[in-house]
Amino acid sequence: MDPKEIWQTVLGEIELQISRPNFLTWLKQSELLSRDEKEGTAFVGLPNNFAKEWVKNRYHKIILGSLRNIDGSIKNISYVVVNNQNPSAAVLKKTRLAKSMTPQAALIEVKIDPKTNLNPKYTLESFVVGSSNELAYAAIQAITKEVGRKYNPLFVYGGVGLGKTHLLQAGGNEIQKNHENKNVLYVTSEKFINDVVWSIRNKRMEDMKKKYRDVDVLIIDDIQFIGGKPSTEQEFFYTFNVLYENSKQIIISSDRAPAAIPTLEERLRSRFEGGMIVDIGYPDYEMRLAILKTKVLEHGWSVMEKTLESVAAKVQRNIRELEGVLNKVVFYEQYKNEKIDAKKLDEIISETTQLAARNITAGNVLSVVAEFFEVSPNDLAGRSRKSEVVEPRQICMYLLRDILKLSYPHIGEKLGHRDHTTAIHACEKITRDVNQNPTLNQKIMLIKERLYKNGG
Amino acid sequence: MKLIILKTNLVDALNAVEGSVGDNTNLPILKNILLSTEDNKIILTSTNLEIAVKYSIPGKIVETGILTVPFGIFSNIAKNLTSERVTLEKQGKNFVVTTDNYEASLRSQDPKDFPIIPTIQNKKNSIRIGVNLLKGILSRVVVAAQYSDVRPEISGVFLSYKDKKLTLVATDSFRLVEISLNPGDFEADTDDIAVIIPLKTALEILRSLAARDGGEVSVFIDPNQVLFQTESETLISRLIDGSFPDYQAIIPKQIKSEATLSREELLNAVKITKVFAGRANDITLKVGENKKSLEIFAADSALGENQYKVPIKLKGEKFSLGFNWRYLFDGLKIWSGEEITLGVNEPDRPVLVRNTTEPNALYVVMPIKS
Repeated sequence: MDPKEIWQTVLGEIELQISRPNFLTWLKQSELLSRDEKEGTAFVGLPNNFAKEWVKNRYHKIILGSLRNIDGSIKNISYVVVNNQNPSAAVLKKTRLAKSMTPQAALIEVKIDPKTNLNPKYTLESFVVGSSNELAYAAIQAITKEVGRKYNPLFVYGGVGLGKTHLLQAGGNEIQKNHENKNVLYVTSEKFINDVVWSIRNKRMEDMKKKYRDVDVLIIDDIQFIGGKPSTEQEFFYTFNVLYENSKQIIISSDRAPAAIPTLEERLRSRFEGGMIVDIGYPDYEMRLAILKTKVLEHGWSVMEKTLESVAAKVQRNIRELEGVLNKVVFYEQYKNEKIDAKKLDEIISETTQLAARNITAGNVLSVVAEFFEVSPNDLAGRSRKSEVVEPRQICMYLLRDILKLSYPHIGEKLGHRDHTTAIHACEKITRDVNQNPTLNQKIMLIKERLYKNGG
Repeated sequence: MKLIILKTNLVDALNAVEGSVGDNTNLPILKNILLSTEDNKIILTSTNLEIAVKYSIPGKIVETGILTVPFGIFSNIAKNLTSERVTLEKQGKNFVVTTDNYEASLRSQDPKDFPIIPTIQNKKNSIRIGVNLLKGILSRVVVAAQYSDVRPEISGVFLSYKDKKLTLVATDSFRLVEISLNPGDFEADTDDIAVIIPLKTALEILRSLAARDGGEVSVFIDPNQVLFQTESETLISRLIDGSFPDYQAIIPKQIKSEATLSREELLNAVKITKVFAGRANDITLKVGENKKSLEIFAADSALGENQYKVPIKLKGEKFSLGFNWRYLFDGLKIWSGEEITLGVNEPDRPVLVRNTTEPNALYVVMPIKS
């Protein structure tokens, strides 16, 4: 049983034994952090020292009793203050800064260059290059040397958390460094939209034009959001033309190719397609490992090589998730001062990635896979051995195992009463191939993405 | 239990614990305070589960014991008593307050239900500092602090001890105060410290020290709580989890132009000119043509405009900057010296306000974008 379930059971029992106010005050925000099986210690997290003192002195016996009912190996409990709570709403008077029309800038923003909007923490040096992004990297590098002449516009696309923003900002910073006289401006498409709205409302179109047409390099992040907003698209179109005609560099990013943004106006699409289009794919195993190593080095952490390898092998969805898992691993290691074993790692990974998998059912998996390969769900469960059905079927088994953690016999059952050894073979085959075959990896990523989108 | 206490001492004690009396509807006992005797001392305790205050009242213990009493009623009674001496007594389940001409009997809750007050066992990390000095610094630093749901890590006062220097910092992301103390001003027996004290705790410390003049405070710190101790009072509070922003990066290292002027006059100028400030609270500070005066200017299309001139000594280039007058005002008010300096860079860079007599203290404020 995972700690959450155990703790739910324990709380359920205790709730019957103590008064409701006491339960709400002292135990509502508690959690079972982990168990040390060797020493039989359970670590219980509480929101503050008051709760710690109280629970330790008053409820220790009943908590230990209920815990032992579930897991007899637990001999004692260690209470820990997990201070991640914001001050409670009751104490916090809602004296937030009045949202006046003050154009008051914040001090903290100062880190970001106010002129270019670039964050100096993104550099090309810290960008990990691998086969999935080397083309995009090379294109950006070429641009930083020959601004506006080489690839214009440069259109970078790729999934969530794969490093588009990093690459774009790093490119901007590099240009700024190499060519001091060039005006670089980085905006997200959201900011661009806001500026358009603001200038229409305040009748200050001139300001807008001045801001965006007086630059040498315009970088726009997540352009897909301007689709379906006609005034913004129009304004962007004019801006684009002015810059393009004066051979100013334009760099654009999106989560998909221009042709795949459904609401984008045709004339914009053709302009984007007129330049250089590069994609950033999902990182392969080596690259994921390289990213982890860079991160570890950057922060001066010490994490065992083996742990990194298994994180890289197990987390495949995106880089942000990879970092999330790494952060957690480091947190656990420093917090409990022990090396992470394979079991603990699986727990951490499932904590981070399973969040999204909560609403997915076996039926979802089947239908999404069938839809993706354009076969019918019946074919997947059928007896056909044609190759166009076999691969989807195996992927289906792999996903049922990987995401839903179904048992092999159950998986066989779901897909046309097959034997559990067939399921085992399929899962092993795909697990092996995923790391070697980028197309297969890409396919699985896309299917997962669809699944999470539908499920979440 | 039976105690005899002077009324004024009782009222002082009630005032001291008032700020941390709870208002938790889940746990009504928090609206009570705990009255107990420990080691020949009479102790009043209150807590809201964020902060707890223990206060020891001078008085005579006739019989030891422990009980809880509803704070609101008790404090109302105590403050309106006319007699000099008060007798407090436990009779059965009731708490009885008696003077020569008055008697009240209050229902009391079981003291076993009162929260257990945490403490810091390991008194290794400690700082000792004069009450007046701590009050002086803290009251100036909290000016720039602000409650924020979004960024809990700046909703407090950052306290750090590093390289033998004690520093207190607060910011609401628009301005920042930093005040440091040199080794001679306090005693420290501790490793390096970097903690964030919740704003509410800081205000509570100020409140409870307000009546105290002279003496010392000991500050003890462990990873998630802080304890302040004076002769008669102990305050314990949680700390804010999180890391304070790297504020050093915000403080300007170089200054393009520096204006030195009378603090009093600039304060006065802001006070007057702000009357015409618009919705954004904006006033403009501009160095005059001859570089010998600073023009403080505010205008509102509906009200009119005004201007105030203050003589300055200017090093470097002329400047013209907009400010939210409240932020500028706060930055002038917290200093005590006669002269201040304004250190200015580009108009979109923070401005440094310093007091010429206090080299260890600084105020940074962001100008308004024009």
